[in-house]
Amino acid sequence: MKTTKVFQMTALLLVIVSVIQVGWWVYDQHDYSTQKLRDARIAYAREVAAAQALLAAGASAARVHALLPDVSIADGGAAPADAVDAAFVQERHRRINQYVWESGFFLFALALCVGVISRALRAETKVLQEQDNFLALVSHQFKTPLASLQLSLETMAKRQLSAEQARTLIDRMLVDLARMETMVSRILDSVRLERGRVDLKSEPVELAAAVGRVVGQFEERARQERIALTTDVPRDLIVLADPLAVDVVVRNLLENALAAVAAVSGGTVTFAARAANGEVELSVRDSGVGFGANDSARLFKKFSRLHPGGGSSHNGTGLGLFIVRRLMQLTGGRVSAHSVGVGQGALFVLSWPAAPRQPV
Amino acid sequence: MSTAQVSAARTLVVEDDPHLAAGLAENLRAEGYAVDTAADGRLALAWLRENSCELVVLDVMLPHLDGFTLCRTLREEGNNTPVLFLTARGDPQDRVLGLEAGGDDYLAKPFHLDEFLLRVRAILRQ
Repeated sequence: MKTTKVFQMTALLLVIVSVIQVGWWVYDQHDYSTQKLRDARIAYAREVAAAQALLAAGASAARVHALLPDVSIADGGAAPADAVDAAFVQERHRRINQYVWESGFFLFALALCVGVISRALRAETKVLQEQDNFLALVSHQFKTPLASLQLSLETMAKRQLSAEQARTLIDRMLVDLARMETMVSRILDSVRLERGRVDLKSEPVELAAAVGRVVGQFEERARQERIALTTDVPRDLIVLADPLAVDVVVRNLLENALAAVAAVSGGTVTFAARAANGEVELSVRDSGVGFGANDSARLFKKFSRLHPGGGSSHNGTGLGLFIVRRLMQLTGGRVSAHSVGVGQGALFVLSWPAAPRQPV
Repeated sequence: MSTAQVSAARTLVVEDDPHLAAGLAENLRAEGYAVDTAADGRLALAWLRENSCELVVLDVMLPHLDGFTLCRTLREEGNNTPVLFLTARGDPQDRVLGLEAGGDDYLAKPFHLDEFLLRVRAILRQ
């Protein structure tokens, strides 16, 4: 933040110095050329006077014209030629124009440079800010399972436990480790996705089977948290996508939905799908905490957490929906989020291109 | 006997992580304290308005009502039950915030079980 301040002051100073410099330069050039023009005019007036003197001394008009070709000689007298006078005026205009354009262009280019640099710097600051948030978040998210692990281990070391009690503690530790592992892989996934370093396939995926596999893994958890988990996905829907990406996307949305519903002590999560306009839409509707109408764009940003201090994202990394959107983008699909408001549940809709029908 | 008095003390553990809540409760019970648990701030506040205890072990990042606000609310309502903050937010600023909110002690996660139990004992002795 301090470097930004230094940059701003330096940029401001640079602009001020440059404007003064350009102003001075324009003034000086103008002064110089005015002087030059005046000198040229005086010299020309002298030529005319000289021609007049020569004519008065009896020199022939042809002789005078040969000596001073720029002076117009008519009726035995010398006069300034109209063309030469016009040339002076034109030269003056040309120079004024030139200063205006040159200094204008210079200031424009300078402003553009400062603009580009400050924009880059702002982006840099934003990235740094995000990284700071990320670090704070990661450390915070890791501390809870770490504290739980440490507590379980120290309890085992300190107390005389029955085999059953020991088993409970071991199970807890395994779950804590799994939580940390999920976090690590999500962080790595998001970094890879952000840099586009993924090799995604595009092949027919049977949606009902893909959703069924993921849902099957969460049925137990849903039951424990009093969440009615239902799926209504027709068997004949085939999407064109990466099978692993479909799995990750469905899993992340389901985890989100379960957390959102668990936060309001139970409810429903429903998967439904339909074909529409060459696409297949999968919707995930939950009766959970929902979100404000203005938050739907922010939801998909990295590290955005709509419920600080608890709620649905308490165990979240702030990366789940970011990963979903990125994966959908990279596989030619879309994702959108809808909620009437906080406490009103939420609806997430995924769309993939439908796979062309093929005989099986 | 003073130890018997201390051991009979009733405590409330406010923690939304089920593993930590269970682990803390088990260890406090093993030391002879009576333990109640609450998984979110609002439930904890409701419990504390209805019941009394000698110590609240309080997490900060809680659903519905955060620990700092909960503690401040208690103090405003004239409830002076000792509060031990137990949270992943271990920055010096957070510690200051916690103590300003009316907390009696502050322990950052992850923590040592022995240290936690000693601090609990120290608060209950006061």
